Amino acid sequence: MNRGHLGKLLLILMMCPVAAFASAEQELSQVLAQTQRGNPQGRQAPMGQDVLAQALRLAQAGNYKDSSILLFQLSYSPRFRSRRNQIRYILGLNLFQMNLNQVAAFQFISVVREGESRYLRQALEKLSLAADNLGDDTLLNYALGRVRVDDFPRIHRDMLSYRIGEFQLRNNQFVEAAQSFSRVQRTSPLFAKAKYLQGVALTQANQLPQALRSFEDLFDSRRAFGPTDPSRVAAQMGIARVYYQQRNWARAIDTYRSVPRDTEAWHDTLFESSWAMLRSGRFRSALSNFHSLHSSYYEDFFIPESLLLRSIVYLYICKYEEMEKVLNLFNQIYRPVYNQIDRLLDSGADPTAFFNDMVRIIRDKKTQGEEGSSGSYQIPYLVGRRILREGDFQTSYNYITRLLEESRRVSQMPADWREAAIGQYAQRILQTRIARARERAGRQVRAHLESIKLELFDLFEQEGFIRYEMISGKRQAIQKRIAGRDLPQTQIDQATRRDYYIQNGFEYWPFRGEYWLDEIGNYHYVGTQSCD
Amino acid sequence: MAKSYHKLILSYALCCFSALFGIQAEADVIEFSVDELAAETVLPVFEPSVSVRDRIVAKSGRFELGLGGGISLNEPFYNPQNLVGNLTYHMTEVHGINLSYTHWLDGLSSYGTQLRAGQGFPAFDPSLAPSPESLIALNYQNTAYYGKISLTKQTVMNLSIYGLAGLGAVGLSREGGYKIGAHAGVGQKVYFTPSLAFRFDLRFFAYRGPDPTTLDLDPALPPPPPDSFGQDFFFNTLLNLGLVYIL
Repeated sequence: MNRGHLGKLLLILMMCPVAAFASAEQELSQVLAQTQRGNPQGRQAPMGQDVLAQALRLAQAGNYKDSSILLFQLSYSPRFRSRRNQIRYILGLNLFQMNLNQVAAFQFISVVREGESRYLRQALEKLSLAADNLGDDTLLNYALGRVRVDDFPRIHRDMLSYRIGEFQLRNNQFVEAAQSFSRVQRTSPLFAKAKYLQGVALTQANQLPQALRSFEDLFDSRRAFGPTDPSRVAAQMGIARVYYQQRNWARAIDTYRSVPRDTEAWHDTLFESSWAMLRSGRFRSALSNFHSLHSSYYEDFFIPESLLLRSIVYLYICKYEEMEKVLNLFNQIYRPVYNQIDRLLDSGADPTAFFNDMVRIIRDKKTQGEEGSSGSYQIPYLVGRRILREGDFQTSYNYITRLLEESRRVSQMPADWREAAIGQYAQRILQTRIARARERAGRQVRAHLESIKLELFDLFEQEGFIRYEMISGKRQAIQKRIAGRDLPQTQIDQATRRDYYIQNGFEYWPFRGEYWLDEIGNYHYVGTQSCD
Repeated sequence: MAKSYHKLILSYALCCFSALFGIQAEADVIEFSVDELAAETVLPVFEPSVSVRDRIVAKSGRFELGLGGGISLNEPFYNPQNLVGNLTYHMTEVHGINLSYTHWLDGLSSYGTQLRAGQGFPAFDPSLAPSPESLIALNYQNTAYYGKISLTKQTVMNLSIYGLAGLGAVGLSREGGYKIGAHAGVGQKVYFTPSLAFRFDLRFFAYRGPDPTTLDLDPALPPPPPDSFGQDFFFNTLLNLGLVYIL
């Protein structure tokens, strides 16, 4: 292959429209096939161009490992400066095929940074796919900020619309986000997530009827997946929350109640439906929920507000003794939590230390379940559990997990690849990215700790007001007692015979202090109010 | 969104309290909405799934002392009645180590008495042979089930079912010495209080020892030496009742 002919080949390579293929492998094959078709005589090329031709042949044969070694060398060769974008793009495709998304993404970024080139559009598209696989917000934002939807292959447009919607939702562009989510096709695997987030965006935009329709659409689309399907349950939660926003307490309560008990979301319904019950004046029902919610099954859940809410319900029914116990419990649990967070934030600990502590919590939770709380962490365990549920931390954590997996794949590559320049480059990139991602996740943890500290501070203030009302209520109760106008202390079920329950097809078990898993959610408050 | 909204409502609810105080009325008749009553048979999801928390009967790390009595169900010759003492250390709510001591009361069973009197047979005095008079056993105890039972509307009692297995030494009368035996059983405890329970168990012990029927035990003759009896394998069943107290 002589120089003139390779030049022709490369011209073909540069000019060939890289169509929107389902996979980079197909695309790479087509690019390389066209390259070979342009060289029917197989004429000789000078040394460096020989290497390029060899790299392309290797890639076409599916030998991405050896091809990437050669392409990486060429990408730094001054001789190929004018074709650097091309080489980097193909190198990126090779690495993408090797499931080294982060290293591939860096090649695509290099192409994008060079500015306008024939490979810009393709590089952006592939960068979006690599970023999607990694779940890295920063990369996604970088790619999505530059990509044009119409240029994007139709097959990946759902992903693009979904990611754009996520980006807009994060930036409080709720209406735009809802529109982006609505573009995700019903047949897409992302449809359920998109439909849910569309409902969330519409709720945030205060377009409640539209939000309701969106959640109902999601619910209907998941009927075939069974009652515990997470997307179906998420739709139910969304519907209940919209009804709550619409102040339709009864329907909100009914919808919360329709969430199956054997799902993670059911725990949230206990607290959220209690709000609806309080606001609709169903104090007994709210107290019934609190009995479950404040059982030792929930001792590692961060739910300070629920204790204050319970105390307010007691305030409404003049149960001051109970109210005081609940307020004391609130202080007993959350005062040390607040102090611990305060000390931790003041200590000026390194963000990575916050992240490492979270990793320990995650690890212990996985291996020991709820018993993981026995460990001593810098971050209070129940606060750590709350942060685990935060979307930004979850994204960062998943990204770090994928980087670690990629790093593991790199270390499992054959020695010749690892010791080659590309191998060392890949390891360096991954180590740097992992360190930075950990630092970023640590900063997110810190931000959440600050936010939780503020939230607790605010709740302590509320607690002070509630305590004031309690004292005031107690004073009035004493005045009534002196005047002989207080109500007798009775339990509502005292006059009801056991037969009553059996005849109605239910069992009655008085509560004696121990909590049974099959009773959680089935407790009923049977006390009476102490004031008229 | 929901959080800040709730915060506002919390303040709102508090502010409204003063206004609403005194307006509360009615509600002496309890009306549980059927919607609120248990309709699902599935359990909430917790990791790990622990069936009970804040147990009323907490045994972990505690000793349990038991006293009682019972009978041997398949004892033909000797008094089947016995007294039992138990000391158990519960390492956890499930696993424990149990030391039990059983002492048989002296005398013969009604059949043994009849045989000694020669009613219907040549006289045969089993009391001249070495017989089990005590059993001491060290067992592993596994509490496989902890639950509760409601007998009346306001009465709920906790109960547990356990199994035990171990090795023991059977002490024989008439200088018969000790024989090593295997010991196993199942039982149930019904708790009246967090510490006090009624204990009912069915135990089995097996050992190889002297068989009284291998010699003619004439009541008129002195007892033969213990080693003159033939050896056989014995499998005894004990039914015991008693009380236990968790220390």
